[in-house]
Amino acid sequence: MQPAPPSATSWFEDERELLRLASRDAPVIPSVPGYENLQEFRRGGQGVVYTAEQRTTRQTVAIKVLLAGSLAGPSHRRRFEREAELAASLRHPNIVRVFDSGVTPEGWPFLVMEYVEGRPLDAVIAGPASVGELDARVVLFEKIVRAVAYAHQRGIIHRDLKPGNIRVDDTGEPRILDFGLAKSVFEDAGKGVTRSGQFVGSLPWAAPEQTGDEAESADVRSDVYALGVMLYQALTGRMPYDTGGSLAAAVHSIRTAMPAAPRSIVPAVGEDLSAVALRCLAKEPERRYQSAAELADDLAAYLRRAPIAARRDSAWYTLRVAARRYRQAAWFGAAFAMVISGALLVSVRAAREAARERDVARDQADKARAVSDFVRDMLTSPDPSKDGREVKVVDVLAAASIQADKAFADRPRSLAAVQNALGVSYTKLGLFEEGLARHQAAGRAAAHLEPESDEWLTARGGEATCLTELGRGSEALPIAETLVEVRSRQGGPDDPRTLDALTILGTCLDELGRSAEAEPIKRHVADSYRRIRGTDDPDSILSLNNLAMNYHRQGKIAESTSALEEVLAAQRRVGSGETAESQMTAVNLASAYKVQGRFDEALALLESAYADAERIWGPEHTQTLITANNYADLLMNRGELARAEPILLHVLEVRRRVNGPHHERTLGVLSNVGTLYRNKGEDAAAGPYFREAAEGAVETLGPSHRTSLILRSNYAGWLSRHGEGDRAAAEYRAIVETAREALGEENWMVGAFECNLSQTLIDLGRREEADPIARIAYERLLRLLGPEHDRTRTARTLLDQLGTTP
Amino acid sequence: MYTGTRTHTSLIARLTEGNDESAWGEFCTRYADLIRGCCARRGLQIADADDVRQEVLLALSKSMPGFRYDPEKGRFRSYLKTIVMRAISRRMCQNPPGAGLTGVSESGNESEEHEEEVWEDEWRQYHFRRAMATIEVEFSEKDRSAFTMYAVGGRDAAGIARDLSMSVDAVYQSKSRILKRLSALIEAQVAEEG
Repeated sequence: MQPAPPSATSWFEDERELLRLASRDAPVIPSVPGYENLQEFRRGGQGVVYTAEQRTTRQTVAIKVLLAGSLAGPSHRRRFEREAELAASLRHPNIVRVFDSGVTPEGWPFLVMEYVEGRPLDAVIAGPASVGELDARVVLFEKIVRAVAYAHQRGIIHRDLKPGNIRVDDTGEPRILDFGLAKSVFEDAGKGVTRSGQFVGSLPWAAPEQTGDEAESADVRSDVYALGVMLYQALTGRMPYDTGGSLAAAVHSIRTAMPAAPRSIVPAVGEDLSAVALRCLAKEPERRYQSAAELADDLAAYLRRAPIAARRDSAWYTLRVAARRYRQAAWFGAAFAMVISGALLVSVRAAREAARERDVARDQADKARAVSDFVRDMLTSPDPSKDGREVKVVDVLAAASIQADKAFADRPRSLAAVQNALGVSYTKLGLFEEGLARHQAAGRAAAHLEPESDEWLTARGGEATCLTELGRGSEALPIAETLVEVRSRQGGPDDPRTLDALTILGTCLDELGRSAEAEPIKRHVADSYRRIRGTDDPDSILSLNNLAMNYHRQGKIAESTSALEEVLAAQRRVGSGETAESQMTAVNLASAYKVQGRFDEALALLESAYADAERIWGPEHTQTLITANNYADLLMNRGELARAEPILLHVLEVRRRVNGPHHERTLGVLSNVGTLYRNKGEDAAAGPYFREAAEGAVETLGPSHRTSLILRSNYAGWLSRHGEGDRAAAEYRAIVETAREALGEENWMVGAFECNLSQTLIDLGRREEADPIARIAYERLLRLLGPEHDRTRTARTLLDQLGTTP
Repeated sequence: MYTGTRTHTSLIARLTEGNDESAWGEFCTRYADLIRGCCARRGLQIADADDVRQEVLLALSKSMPGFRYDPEKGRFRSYLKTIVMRAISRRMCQNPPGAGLTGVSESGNESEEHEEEVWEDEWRQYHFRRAMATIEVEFSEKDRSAFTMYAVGGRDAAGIARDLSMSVDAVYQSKSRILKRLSALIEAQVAEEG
């Protein structure tokens, strides 16, 4: 359509022209892969919400498509993706689930969310509360506040809480929308214009500190303020102050006007509730509730008609979340939230006990408070704007590690808790050396507590985990055994902490190549969880996965594959798509497929898993490297050397740097690089890699470790190709003998080694020696892998060469 | 900080004084869509559009310190148009558009007319967007949804009223109030821009 021609009236006075411009600005209905029947549902400052149907499940979902231009540039987009992932990690009955996110083919970022029927909060709480309604509204509010507290403890603040972002479903349950997404969408994108344009839409619920140039300083207490405005509305049916006039006037009111006490408007509200609402609305964040949890507790106290604490001393903690700096620190925040909420539980429980327990109770309460203060300090300093660079999680962890010793010099319980939390954070980041050091420090602190304290046991468990990951399984083993002994004595065989300890022990045994011993342990853990918690519980899924890995290591492919398929299905069911957990399963399942010769299935799984890993963990995380290594390995297998080479060399560089030259995983990569050069027709160049891998494996893992056997076999193969057949044959013979003993007769790998030995002997003209070995190998592989498997066929070729085909 | 309240006049003043980096940032943001829109309509790719934007801003940064703002003459608008269109033409010469895409050749004259049209349309769209940003602030989400669904999306008022839990009358009112306000806002913007 053409612009309307200039006429007596100007174009902007022409209604049709304005509507033409408006419709041109409205995005057409986008296409979101996997969903259909998109229908516009709501339109807001950030974007348009559609209802849609998920193609596979026919489930109705809500899809929010962000307006073009709301995320300018790739860095904002990445940030959006990361935040969408964080938001997706929230699982709370009163928070609307985020299932999926991505970018439409048109280039618009979108989020797939749970579709909630029901009404916006303001429709439910319209008008002043009657005496009869008052308690019901407070009950509703407590649920909202608890949900906000849940997110806060995971390091996620909302920043745009308002009645329009809370829906009340048909059963009366409140559901909060858009959690964790405020930052990337509201801020920075196009700087001021978007920020103010977006933000001001919710001005009446914005805290004073959000209305100025320091909008960055918004934290959990800004959410408390917004909750306060809504509580005020729910109690009195009106806003705390007039925000209906001009923008400047509204901002002025928010910053300076003192709201009338709710009870002066609706006497039935009473003094206590009135005080609660006013405390939320304090101009200075320091004078508000310091957390949503605190506010929720006061609402609960009001409902019990217990004295409220609206005027008590400032909080036991302020989890002040500087989301811009610590966005990657989801784990960090989560680990601390665990410590804090754990400590709080303990302190509450302990406080209820009799006087003889008073000292312990005080100690625990001290821990809760001290740890939370420490967390707050660590999260709020150093200020990145002052030191001029983006503070990384690892920097914060390092600073925290140093300061923890000083801060808690005379408080061992607190120190142990903080050090354990740091250890967990490091471990989650794949930094096992640092994790080990933190857990050891926690153990030293816990040595001053009562024997077999929870802090001490947690430290030992963390230590064993890190040692295992560092390839130091023999040091981890006695720790893990002790841990299992104590935990089962304390809680019995099915206690989650015992199961946790058993998992650590099983993993350790697996890493030591003692998978047959690990199997019954891992099966017990998997069975227990499934029995107690059902198939879709995270621990049930994880333990079944661990069992599958154990089967895989033992060469029990059929068992492993079916367990993994079950795991992947459960994970996709629970997570509605690919998550960190399902990514790991996909990698493992690909290995199982590969062993069975199902290469196309394996390749498809790995290709997407590699992309998922980089997205989820970044390029240097151990899981990304494992995925990359397996992917490259399979590409090589399929003859795609050019695609495999850069991936493998990258992995090798990082492995050497991060894990050290002789770590099991570095060794595997070395060997793969050797294979790559061999396949490229540069076999001479491959020799040093194979040799380094084999020698390193014997040194670090011992000669009979499964990995050692494979790497030794690879090197022997190279020797035989380079005129050292006798040396190769001797080495193969040693490998076969060790393998029969270490892996057992029912392991297909033994057959593979036997084939190698037999072939080498044939090449050397030693056919009499080769013949019986080839027969044993063929029978073994036929029995274990079936007649159609490549390895079985290889064995048959040997028999053909020897003229003794059965 | 509300850039929405900062007038165009003061932005131009800050630009002409030079050395005000935040003014440049604001200027870029404000006119990026306008420039991008013109480029797209003239058949440039996104990468080329970004180059044009940079070129325009560079040209402005060189000439702005000496630029004298005179609202009477409508100078800024035609000045901006000239350099944007010149930059686009240069790009198009370097990178003939539509080779293998449309195959439509344009005579010089048609091209001139087309250029005028594109500019007028994109300029109106720019003012409309800016006014909408203010509407976002001044009207409730409900009013804006009603406006979009009813006036733009063409849905029936009764259905919208039900979905948004408001009266049918309120739906009609949202439309007329927002249109009226848009009109006033754009009038002020245009007058101020010169």
